[in-house]
Amino acid sequence: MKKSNKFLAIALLCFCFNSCDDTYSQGKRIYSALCANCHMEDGSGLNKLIPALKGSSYLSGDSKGLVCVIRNGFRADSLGLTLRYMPAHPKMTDVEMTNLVNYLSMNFGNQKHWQLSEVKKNLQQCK
Amino acid sequence: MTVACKPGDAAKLPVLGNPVTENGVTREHTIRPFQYLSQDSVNINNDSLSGGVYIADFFFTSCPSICPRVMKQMLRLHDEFKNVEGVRLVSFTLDPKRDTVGKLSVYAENIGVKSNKWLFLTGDKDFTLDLADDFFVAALEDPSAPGGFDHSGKIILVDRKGRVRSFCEGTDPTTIPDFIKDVYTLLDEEKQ
Ligand code: HEC
Repeated sequence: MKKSNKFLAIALLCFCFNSCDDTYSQGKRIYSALCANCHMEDGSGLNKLIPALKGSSYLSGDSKGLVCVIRNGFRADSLGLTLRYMPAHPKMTDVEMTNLVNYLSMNFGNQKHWQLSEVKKNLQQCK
Repeated sequence: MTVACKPGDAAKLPVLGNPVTENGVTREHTIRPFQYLSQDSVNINNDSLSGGVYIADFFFTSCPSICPRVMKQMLRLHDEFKNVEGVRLVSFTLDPKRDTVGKLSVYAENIGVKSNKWLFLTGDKDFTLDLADDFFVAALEDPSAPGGFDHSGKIILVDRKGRVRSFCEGTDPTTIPDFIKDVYTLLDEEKQ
């Protein structure tokens, strides 16, 4: 490889690394738009009213339930007294879901990298 | 907000709002007289609050949009002034139909606060929508808004005479530190 080509290769590699951050940009956008109002931008939640995502068991290990929580949400109990309500997100596409859980995992979880196929499989198993 | 607290300003906050003239008498803008029930089912009116300054916001427990963000900042203010006498927090619900005393009590418990410091108040819906005007908070019932009410996330500082002295945006955490300074400035003023 000629020297200039090497430079080009390095430049391209850097470019890729930079835009690898961008892999999370859709996930971040979705999080800011649909989740941060409640769970807060930094994932800290609101005391007992809204759980923190940092340290959540759904974000440690490879919880199959994570995508189901996001898809189905939580209903307040019948008396409406727990107040712990989270909306469902039935229209989120598999790709959006994958980008979102990867953003969550990178920022608040154990940095697990979710594959689209795995997310699809887990979604199929949601009740 | 920034107007109210440039460093080096005289240690006095402005009185916000236009003075009103009634029967030839001009008076400063104040919060109109109100009567509400707290999360402990205690009657609360302006007089109950005139022993100190208070920090107010408007919310409702089932609000899926900005409320938790604003509450987070209210909680931050609560923690700042937890042990400072003469400062209370007051959250008015816009949705008294759903936000009964019992529900507000659970809400307060979940946020983890005590009623002698932070009051959650429920009362008449239409009155509350009008009352919000006095605090310069835009609030209206709107079936198309998330949760059925549209409102701004302002947090307002009221002095013991019921005058609005400062405010910040509960949706923007960066506006809180200046607001905290304003509360201390007002406390100093009230000591004089
Ligand atoms: C209206 C507020 C609200 C919104 C918006 C919201 N959540 Fe939640 N979320 C909650 C509440 C409340 C709970 C707890 C429900 C329960 O356990 O009963 C929760 C629970 C969770 C949990 C489980 C955490 C645990 O440890 O129990 C995850 C993960 C989660 N939310 C992720 C999200 C994501 C991702 C989004 C955006 C797509 C989102 N939430 C949007 C309020 C919200």
